[in-house]
Amino acid sequence: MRHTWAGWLVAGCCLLLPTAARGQELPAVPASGDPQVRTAAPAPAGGCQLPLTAHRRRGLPARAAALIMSGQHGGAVAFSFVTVPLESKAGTVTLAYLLDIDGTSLFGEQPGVVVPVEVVVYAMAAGGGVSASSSLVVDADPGVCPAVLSPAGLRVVGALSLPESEHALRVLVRNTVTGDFGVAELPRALPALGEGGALLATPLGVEPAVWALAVEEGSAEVLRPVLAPTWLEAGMTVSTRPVVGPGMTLPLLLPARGVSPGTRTATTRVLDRQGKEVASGELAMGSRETGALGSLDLWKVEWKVPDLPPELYFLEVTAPGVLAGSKVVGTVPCLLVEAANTPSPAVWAALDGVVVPEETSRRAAYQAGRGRKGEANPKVKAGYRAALMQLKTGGLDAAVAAVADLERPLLASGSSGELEGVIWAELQVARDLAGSRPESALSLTLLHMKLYDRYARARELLPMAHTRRILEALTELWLDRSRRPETRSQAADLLANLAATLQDAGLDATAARLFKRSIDVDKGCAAGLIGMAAGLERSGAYRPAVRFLEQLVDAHPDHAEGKLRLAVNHLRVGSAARAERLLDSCLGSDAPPWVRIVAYQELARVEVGKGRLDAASSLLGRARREGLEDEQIRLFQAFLLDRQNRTREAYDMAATVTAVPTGSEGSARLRYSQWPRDDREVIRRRLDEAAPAAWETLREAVGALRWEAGS
Amino acid sequence: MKRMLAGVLVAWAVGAEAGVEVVITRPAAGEVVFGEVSIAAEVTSGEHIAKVTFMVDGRIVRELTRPPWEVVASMGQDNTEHRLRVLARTAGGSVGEATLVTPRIVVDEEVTFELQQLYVSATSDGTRVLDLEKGDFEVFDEGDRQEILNFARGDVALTAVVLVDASLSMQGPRLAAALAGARAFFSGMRGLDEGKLLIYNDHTELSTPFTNVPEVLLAGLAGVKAGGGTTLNDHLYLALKLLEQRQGRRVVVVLSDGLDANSVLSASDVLLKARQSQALVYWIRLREGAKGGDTEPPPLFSAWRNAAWYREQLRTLDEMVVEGGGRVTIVRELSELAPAFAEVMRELREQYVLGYYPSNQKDDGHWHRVKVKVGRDGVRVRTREGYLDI
Repeated sequence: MRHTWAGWLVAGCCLLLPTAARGQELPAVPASGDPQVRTAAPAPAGGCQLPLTAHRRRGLPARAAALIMSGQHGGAVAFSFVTVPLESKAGTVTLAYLLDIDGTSLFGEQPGVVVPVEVVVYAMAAGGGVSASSSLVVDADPGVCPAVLSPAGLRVVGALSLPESEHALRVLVRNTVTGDFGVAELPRALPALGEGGALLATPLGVEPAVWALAVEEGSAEVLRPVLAPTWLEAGMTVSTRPVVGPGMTLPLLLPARGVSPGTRTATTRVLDRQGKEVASGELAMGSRETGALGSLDLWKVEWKVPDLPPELYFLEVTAPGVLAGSKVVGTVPCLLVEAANTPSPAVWAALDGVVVPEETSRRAAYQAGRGRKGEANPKVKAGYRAALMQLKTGGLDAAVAAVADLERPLLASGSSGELEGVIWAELQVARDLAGSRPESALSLTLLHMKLYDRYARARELLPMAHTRRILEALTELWLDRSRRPETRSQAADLLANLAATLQDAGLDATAARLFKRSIDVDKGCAAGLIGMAAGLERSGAYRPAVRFLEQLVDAHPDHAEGKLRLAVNHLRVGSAARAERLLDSCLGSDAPPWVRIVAYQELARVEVGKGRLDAASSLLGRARREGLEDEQIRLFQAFLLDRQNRTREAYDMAATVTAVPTGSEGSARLRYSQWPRDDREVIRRRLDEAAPAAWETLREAVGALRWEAGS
Repeated sequence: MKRMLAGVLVAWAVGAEAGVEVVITRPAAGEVVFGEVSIAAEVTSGEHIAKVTFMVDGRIVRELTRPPWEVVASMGQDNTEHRLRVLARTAGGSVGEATLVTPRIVVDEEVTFELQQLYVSATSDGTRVLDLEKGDFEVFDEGDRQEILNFARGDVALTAVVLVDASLSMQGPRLAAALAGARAFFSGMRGLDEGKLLIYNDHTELSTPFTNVPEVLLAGLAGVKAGGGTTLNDHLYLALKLLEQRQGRRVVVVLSDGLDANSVLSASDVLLKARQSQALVYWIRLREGAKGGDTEPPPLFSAWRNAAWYREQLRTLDEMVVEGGGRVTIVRELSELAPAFAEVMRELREQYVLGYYPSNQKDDGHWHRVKVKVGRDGVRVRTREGYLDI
């Protein structure tokens, strides 16, 4: 199922990174053609050279054209963009576009390869025809320029020449190695002219210049007003999606023509995603810089952000035109978040209503090694084979130890190219084994899971990171090769388990990507759904958390923890009735005690909110009669008695609070606040049960290949 | 309500044995006493006075070995007689004593008096001012000037609950420093004082009884380990609730390195309790290595909390502390923890106590705003901002 957005995509919070001077030499770019994976060239002297050049490409690959005209919205790659009309001459407008791409979703974890990033822009006229187009390729090497990999990501700036009439912009961004893409449309990218030629373009937010920049080749001069704006402080740039907090004052710049110089105020409307007005007001028109953007003036204004729930909104500004009775309208999307330090994955995820299209992701194929050419390092391959041969001679532990002894020195350098080389070598061996025994990929996955435990105990961080990557690759390989009907759900479990490991390690963005992948592989993957939801909840993204939890409860109606988390999050987003029904369903004796304790507490809280203190007290009393002893239940009871002016009884209850024994796992509410683990434990048990057969399969596979010594 | 007439009051000074004469100079004969009361005596002798013992209703309040022969004792809220007794013993073994019986109020109507006690810290340029007299103060309750009935200065008995955060973030040297702080606080306790130690994370790790024996309070600390979540609100409420049944000056000293993560009660729930209890709350916030301002919420969310919640929590707890006449102390280095605790005790020891019966009491549950002014230039006072009229 694919969800459709309103046509605007989101920028995340920015990290502070330096921008380099323009005019520096760029790394050599191979001739155009079908892009292939290339190992990174040694880093040029001086390291990352920004800005990168976005090379123009003639024509458009059929796939890109199909995607951009398909009417799809969304995709795996998140980006946002804004347009700025620069110049208008003889009925033709130079329209600059600034495109900010989330580095994490664009590049994933691909150190050591040069990634051609395709950016295609179509300008759609009102009649549906294409007035202008642009096809650019940016060669980005995350290993050399780690700036592109961060959530701040890559900013691509280009320009189109359009007739002076209303146009929408359709944009496609694609990682040509993995195939991951994103598409979106920006309606009114160039608004229609008002009466007398008046125009109010997209209001521009301002942010620190932190993006790794790529500029369309040959357009630096034309784009100078947005690349080096004289109308902004040094170090600041135009934002493609202001991220705001309630109550803050957002400075905006209004590019406009034909707005009366004496204008004092403009009206504002805030629209939600459905286009419904949720707030309105006025803003004072501040100073005006005449001709700051070619034929457009720039008005400086400040907008007081209203107190609204965190969501994506559209700020519509209406200003009076020069001609009496005329007006011009400009719209900019704004992302309202709870706090300026909202974690970036939550910012992206907060508006992530899109499921990756059902066609197989090429990232997965890449991970599985399909289409990947070139021979891996033969010595590493030989060493890996020799280590695996230990299965036949020394047993499983010996094989694990041998792989660890092989990997440690190889990984010690930390060089992204070498790390990638080890992955590729091990994957090639795994592919060889999977040729005759597809299930051997699962066996290797289990072997590397054992290895991960070993590295984790010794806190060897680089080998841990490497093992996480190879685990993902092996799981995708298994998924690619196995024909057993249960493989998809088991592979999803493995991916979710890996994601949970990443979540424990604090690698939220990658964990979210893997949880999502696990859900794509198996829509009912409980560990994936609850893990994803828990991550979103902890980031304050409650609405998206509800979506995943509804999916979980739909697939697993008896999942007690899932129902509890869904209820708690429904309370947060205002669906009290649904929450109460869910909480009631958590009180059954088959639910774990901690789930029931929290459910009773939350139900009591709901009753307090309704003013029904007796009912709340009664619920807590029932919990205790069922043997659910918890300090916080007694404390809550004491509090309720106090509220009912039964102060002596409240005191007597409070005096018993500290006598309640607490288990080694802590309180029930603490348990809720930890990452979900019950589903992971089920997965681990299943894997333990599958292990003996898996080792046998691997032994057979290793034996069948008859590797020669030293090969 | 009925009001009855005042009864007959008796006070006498017992003649001393040869060589020691004791006279109780305060309270005055016939004075009705409630709450914290200053008891002063004049002791004269040709010999060196070795010890003076102050007793109230048969219970030893304090023993002094040097003048001034003056203590503050808690008389409670009941309308009853009290027997004050002062014994002086010389180095040579001679003993003298004086006894005073304070009267009860005999009234036509039964009146429920809620004595309001204000604990006031007075400072000038950051230094505490310790020589103010009763006449220097003015108390206003909802704008109406009130008659100050009780006045005490200096040492006033207190009952304190010390709350120490032992959540996961307090592991290692942090917890050790926090417990050292608790020790520093309890070591400042005196005769009538009582303390209770509550060490908490997502549940109660350690809870001592109320006692004035430091060894009891500090026993078992060696076994305390940091771990788990933080239930600051729940334990603040618990501390306030447990103090309810204790007499005298009620104090909560809470140490936390973060805000609440797992409580079932909200900060607003605790604020309501604090207003009812009239306890002084001192909040020592450990912000070791923290970036950002003191009002900056923590950067991480949790499953139960988000940024808006944390902002509200911070604001409400701050309001609770300030409204109750307490203080928030931000500590950025572990070495500052013990001194911070000790400083709280010092402040408590140097407060004034002003008692009055509100002239506009209605028992209607409304909040009464209280203001204290002092008639000396440059002196600032800090005390409770009001109370609930219940």
